[in-house]
Amino acid sequence: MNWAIIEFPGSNCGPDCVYVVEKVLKHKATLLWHTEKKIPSVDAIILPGGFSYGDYLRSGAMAALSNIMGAVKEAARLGVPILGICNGFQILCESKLLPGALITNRCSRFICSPIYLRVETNESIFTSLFYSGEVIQIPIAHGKGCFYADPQTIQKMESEGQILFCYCDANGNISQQSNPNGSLRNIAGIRNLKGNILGLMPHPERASENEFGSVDGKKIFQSVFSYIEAKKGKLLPC
Amino acid sequence: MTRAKIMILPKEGVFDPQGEAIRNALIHLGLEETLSVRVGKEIVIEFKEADQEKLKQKVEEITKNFLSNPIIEQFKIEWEKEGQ
Repeated sequence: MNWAIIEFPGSNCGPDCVYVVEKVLKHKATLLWHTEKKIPSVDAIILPGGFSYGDYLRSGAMAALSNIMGAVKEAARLGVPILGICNGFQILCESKLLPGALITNRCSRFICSPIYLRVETNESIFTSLFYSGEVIQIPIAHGKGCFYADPQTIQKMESEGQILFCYCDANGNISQQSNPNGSLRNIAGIRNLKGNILGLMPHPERASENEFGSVDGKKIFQSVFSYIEAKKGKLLPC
Repeated sequence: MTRAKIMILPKEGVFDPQGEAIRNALIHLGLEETLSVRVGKEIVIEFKEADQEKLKQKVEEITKNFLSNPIIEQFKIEWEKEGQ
């Protein structure tokens, strides 16, 4: 499987994603710079985390205007799985490929910490290898990860099953205490209506090897791999 | 020369942690009357001579689609002519 990893000026998690794709998943990684107008034939696309354009104007706002985002929008239209991690999530929202916006954490602090997430549904390209309701651990590292959307949008996202990951405690309880950044409905990760785009504030690439204390993040990448293999008519991996 | 002053503020109902921190500081400094503080940004753009009507339309459009994010922000544009 071939993953395109797109870097913008100020992205800093691209190398971690390349490492996970090549060394952990043993797949191919194609690193692309934001100035490219075309994306070569790949199976999936990752927009990694960081601080593209120094978070000028709003996080992700400048990157959303990059040359390559035209090609990302076209890939989105064609159904290519796209995973936006942290700043990648912010770029996808600013590009209007995902609903809502990510604003400054309610506590005003940058939070870098392991965190519990509840998988809201396994009926998606990105969560098929989890159980619905499974509690997993993936770290967050952001200052502007508070998800906001108007009540009608949130309601629609809920009814369409677009909320895939929520911040919770070790027992899977979703409450204000288990919400690190003030996100509405404890939202940590969402998908688009079509189902091929995931925006996720936590960093799955930092939870893909036992040495990091969790391999739950790896299962997100593997879920996408399962989807690609199934599409090719191959057996689903365990 | 024409100048556009674009004032962008968080929308009502969108929590503004910076505004809240400043509100607390103001009360601490003795401004107990403070009810709320909202913090935004001002973008000042200067333009060369152009068709005013078209320019205003273009600036309004770009402010809505790029300079501000209508999901979380509201904006107001003030126009100035050089010398005014």
